[in-house]
Amino acid sequence: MGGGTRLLHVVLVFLAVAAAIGQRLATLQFEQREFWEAEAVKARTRAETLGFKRGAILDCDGRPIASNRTTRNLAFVFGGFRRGAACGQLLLTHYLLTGERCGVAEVVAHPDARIGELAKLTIGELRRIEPGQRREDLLWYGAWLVEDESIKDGIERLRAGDPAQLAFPRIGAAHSAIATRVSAEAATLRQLTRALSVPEDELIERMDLAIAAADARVLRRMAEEGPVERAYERERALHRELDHRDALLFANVAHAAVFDLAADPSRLPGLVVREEPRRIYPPENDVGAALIGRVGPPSEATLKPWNEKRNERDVLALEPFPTLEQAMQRAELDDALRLDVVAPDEEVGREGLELTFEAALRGRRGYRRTENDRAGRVERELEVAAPRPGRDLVLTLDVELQKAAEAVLRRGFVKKGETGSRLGPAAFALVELPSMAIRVIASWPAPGRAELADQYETLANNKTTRPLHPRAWRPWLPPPPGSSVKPIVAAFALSAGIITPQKTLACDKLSLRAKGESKPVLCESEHFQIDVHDALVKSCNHFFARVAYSAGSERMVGWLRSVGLGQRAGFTAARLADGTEFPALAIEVAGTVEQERGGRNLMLLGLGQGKVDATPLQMAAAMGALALRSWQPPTLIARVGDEVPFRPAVEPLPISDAAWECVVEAMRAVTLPGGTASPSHGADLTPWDLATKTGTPQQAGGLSHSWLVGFLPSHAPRYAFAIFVERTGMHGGDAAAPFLHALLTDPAFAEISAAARRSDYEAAAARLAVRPAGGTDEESGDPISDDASSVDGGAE
Amino acid sequence: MTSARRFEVPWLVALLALGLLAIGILFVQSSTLGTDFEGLERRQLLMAAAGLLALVFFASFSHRQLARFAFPLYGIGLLMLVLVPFVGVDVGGARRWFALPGRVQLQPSELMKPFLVLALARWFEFRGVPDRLRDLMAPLLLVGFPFLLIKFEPDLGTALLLAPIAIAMTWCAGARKLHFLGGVALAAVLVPAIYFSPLLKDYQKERVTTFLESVPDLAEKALAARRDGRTAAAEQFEERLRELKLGAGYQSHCAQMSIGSGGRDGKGLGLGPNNRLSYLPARHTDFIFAVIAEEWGFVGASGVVLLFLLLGTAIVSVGVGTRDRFSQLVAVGAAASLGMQAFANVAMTTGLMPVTGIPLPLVSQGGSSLLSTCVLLGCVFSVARSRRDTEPFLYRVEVAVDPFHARSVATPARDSGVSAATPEEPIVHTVRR
Repeated sequence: MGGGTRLLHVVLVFLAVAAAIGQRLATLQFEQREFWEAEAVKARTRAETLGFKRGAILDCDGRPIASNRTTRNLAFVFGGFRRGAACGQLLLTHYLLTGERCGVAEVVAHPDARIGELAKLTIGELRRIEPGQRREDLLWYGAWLVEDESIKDGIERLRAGDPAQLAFPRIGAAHSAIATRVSAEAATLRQLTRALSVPEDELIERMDLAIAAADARVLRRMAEEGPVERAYERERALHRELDHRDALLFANVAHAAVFDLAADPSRLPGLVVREEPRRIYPPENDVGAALIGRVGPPSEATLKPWNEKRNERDVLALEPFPTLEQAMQRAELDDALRLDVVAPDEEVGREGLELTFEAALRGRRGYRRTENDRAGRVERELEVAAPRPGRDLVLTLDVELQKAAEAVLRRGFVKKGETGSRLGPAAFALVELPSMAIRVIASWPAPGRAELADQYETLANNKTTRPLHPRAWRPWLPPPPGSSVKPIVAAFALSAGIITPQKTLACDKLSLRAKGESKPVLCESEHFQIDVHDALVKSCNHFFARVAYSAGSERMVGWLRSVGLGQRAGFTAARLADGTEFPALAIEVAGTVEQERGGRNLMLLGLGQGKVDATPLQMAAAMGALALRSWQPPTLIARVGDEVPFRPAVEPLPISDAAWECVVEAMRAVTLPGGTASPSHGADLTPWDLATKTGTPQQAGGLSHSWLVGFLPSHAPRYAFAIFVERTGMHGGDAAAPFLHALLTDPAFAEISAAARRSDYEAAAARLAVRPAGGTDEESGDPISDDASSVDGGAE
Repeated sequence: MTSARRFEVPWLVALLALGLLAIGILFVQSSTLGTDFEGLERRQLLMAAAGLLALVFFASFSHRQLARFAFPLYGIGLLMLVLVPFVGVDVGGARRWFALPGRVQLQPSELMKPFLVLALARWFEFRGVPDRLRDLMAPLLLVGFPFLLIKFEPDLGTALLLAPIAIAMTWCAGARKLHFLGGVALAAVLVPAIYFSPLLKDYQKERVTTFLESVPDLAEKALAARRDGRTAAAEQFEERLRELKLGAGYQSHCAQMSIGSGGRDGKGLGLGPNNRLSYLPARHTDFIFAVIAEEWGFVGASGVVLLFLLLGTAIVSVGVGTRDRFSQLVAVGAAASLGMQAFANVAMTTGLMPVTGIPLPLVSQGGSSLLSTCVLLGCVFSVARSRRDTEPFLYRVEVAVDPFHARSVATPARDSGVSAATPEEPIVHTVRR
């Protein structure tokens, strides 16, 4: 073979290598171009989610019941600490040298010892450190300690270098500089400890705990995974993966305390101030905790879409050469995950209005996609989508009235002739007319937010008062309304011509029986022949039993249902112009009104007993309907964002003027002498122009409840109300009327009180104008007998 | 020798080298713009000027003078390598440099390459055809000493580059095929043995294993595993992917990412995002080819590869044009040194071989590498003139002395009656056995 041939071989080798390189270039730059382009974009872009501001819940005057505040938490990131802080670097070098962790406190207290052990490290000792990865890590930390920029320039140079020639010989020379860094970090820690007003070393102890937790987390994962061949490498990888997480050191810290650290995080890398919007319930407006609800971490079910979409996206993300369709699908999934779907780190409504109106209160996350350099500095913004705040929810509730009502209920009532107040579960609902807007929906017991958080189990297990059941709209068992339904029955019956104002019906206290039944319907007094006015004022059971019997089951149930009984008030439901519908609180109690085929139960329906029960809110709404002679469900929602929700159409009720006048006239007399809520009972309500009705329904196996329902002023109704006191064993006038008196004399109710207040002269005249009373003025549950035939033979 | 001959240059080699140098300066500027290293291209220009002076200096010698200086130069190089651990300076964790006045650093291992080429050429010229195994011992020692000294600097990449120089020169010097096959067999045994021996450090082994894995392939496997519901396997693949991207394979991944995203036409000079945003490590030195591929795309990258191919071929052709065994071997050694270093750098950058710290000759920023390359080119320029000083190559092969295969030539040059040497540069290439 000639020399030229051998020279040619060299050229051929060049050609072969060049061809291989050309082929490789073509593969990378043509065949795999999209993959690498995507990898490059992925590497240099960061997508940051921008949190939205959750909509506030406001009362009718714009007072915040639930709002947001930026809170600051002091967190510890172990990864950042060991990488950036001199204390962290020394902590790690000690660990890499000895295999044992020392505390931050120890490093801060004795930095010289830690620096010394590195400076004294001989080349031989360094070479003996195994495995190689551990040695290399030690070299890196040494390099960072001496802040060697040339080493930071590239791992390749480090790896190519002789480990023995690296930073360690210079650590001795840099001893004082490292010690200065440590003391500066220690000073920052001391300053933070003082600013946070925590005991000395508390901060450092918590940092040590966080480090221990990080170690434990890694060890747990390794234990789960089982034995591995290269344990140190696995431990290292897990630390790298997990140690970027925040460990909360102090929550809700004062801005001033962390101001310096927030402004200059390089003061102590690893300690970070995280700002996040937090839901707060201003204590001054913290009312109706059970109604307003709370926010909390999303449930498993809420997170399901997020998990599903993320898995789907992760699978697509692995596709090295995605098709256009796959790319679009991934972009959609990315958008959904970034913007819409509830993410694990979010707070969502978990109960009450916070849950029901989640779709309105929850805004839309924004995001910022930036192009960053290798050090993480933002080079430019590629895409910014501003977060969309949630819509505010404006309630019809008046926080001041609600607070006053809750206070009144909390104080209990004083029975006439007694000095001490009686406490018991009670409720008060106030509906403004004609809008049917709920101004007050108060209950007692009503545990506050703090109580709910701290003593939830105790409250849930309290079977005596069942404090987790607000009586106004979610009683454990809805009570029968008792005689408080009588005005409604009277108004409909008068309008239907079943009775007339002049018609009298017999009441003999004991002997009223339905056909074929032996058990009688009882009335507390024998009213003889009684007309509707007196029957209402004295609450005659027989009169209304006969009316119910005459009207029949279907009509009775129809009348009661037409004013909202037997169905949910649906007071939180809302429908917006764009078709968005917010359902009523699922936990609202509906009450029942069921048809009776006849007999005694039908008679009892006329008395508000038997198969009828109602919440105080329902009764207040029913009184509103009676006052307006039209039905519209009550509402708690004034506005959702800028929109006023649609209201169901007003349904006129078939109540004639004469009937209404007759019934209201009788209701006015209830609080006057001779009425069931006369001053001789619990409270003197004569100074106010009220149309009321008491109720004292029997509750099976227990004491009777007390009701006082009505509206005011009676001549031009502006508010309807219902007061309910549970298991008092007393008449409505004795137990419920004092609450109304207390409310109307409360300064918060001054405006309402003034609207219904009579002048002294009018009050005196009203007291005198009352018809003389006969017999007792309250119904009784005691059995009385009558003949059902007498119902038909009632005298006019 | 006339003065005209004295400054006669192989223009193709000169033009190709200047072209690569210009590209290098352009991309050194592009890759350092806006970084702490901004302005490094001016330093590179100064280095290029110094390199040109060195080139002219070495080119000014005749090839015979070079031959005479070969061993002394090799000795100087070896001495410098011996001295490096004692008087060298640490840079980036390795002691490979001498500090010279004016913040200039000299890397003796780079200079060793041209000196080794001269020494080997001189040895083979002196010794004749190495057709016995023992004839290969001296070249092995000539390479082995600097190899070990450089390896323990440590600079395995540069040390390994001495091997192709020696192999190419030994082959062209006429070594027997059988010996080469034996060498190949020995390498086949030794390479795995070295891999599993403590000679290779953990990180070096890791580089080999990461080189054997491909990110797109792993991504595809992970996807397939996810699709098939093999979650555990998918997680293992994904973990490995993370390791390849962020761990041991980080540099290679970044380089391939830059090259791949360059596409056909590239992003434009100075506009490569991976370069601009510092995602490429050592991008003005060892990974400068990735910057070229990102900013000039396939067209530019393959153009640079072509330029190196042409340069290597042109240098070999300089050797072909000479009659002198020493000159031919110098040309082959220079071509092997430049070509294989360039191809090794590109292969490392494109993921065809494990990552080692080798600069791209004439293009990467770095004074010593540039100086070494210029010295090599100076030697090539010097030996190029021997074409005119000696007889035509073909004639000589045909007639008498095949410098690479003297044994196979039936008639020695001297006996053929045809003078194989000029009066002033006699060639003594005879079959000694």
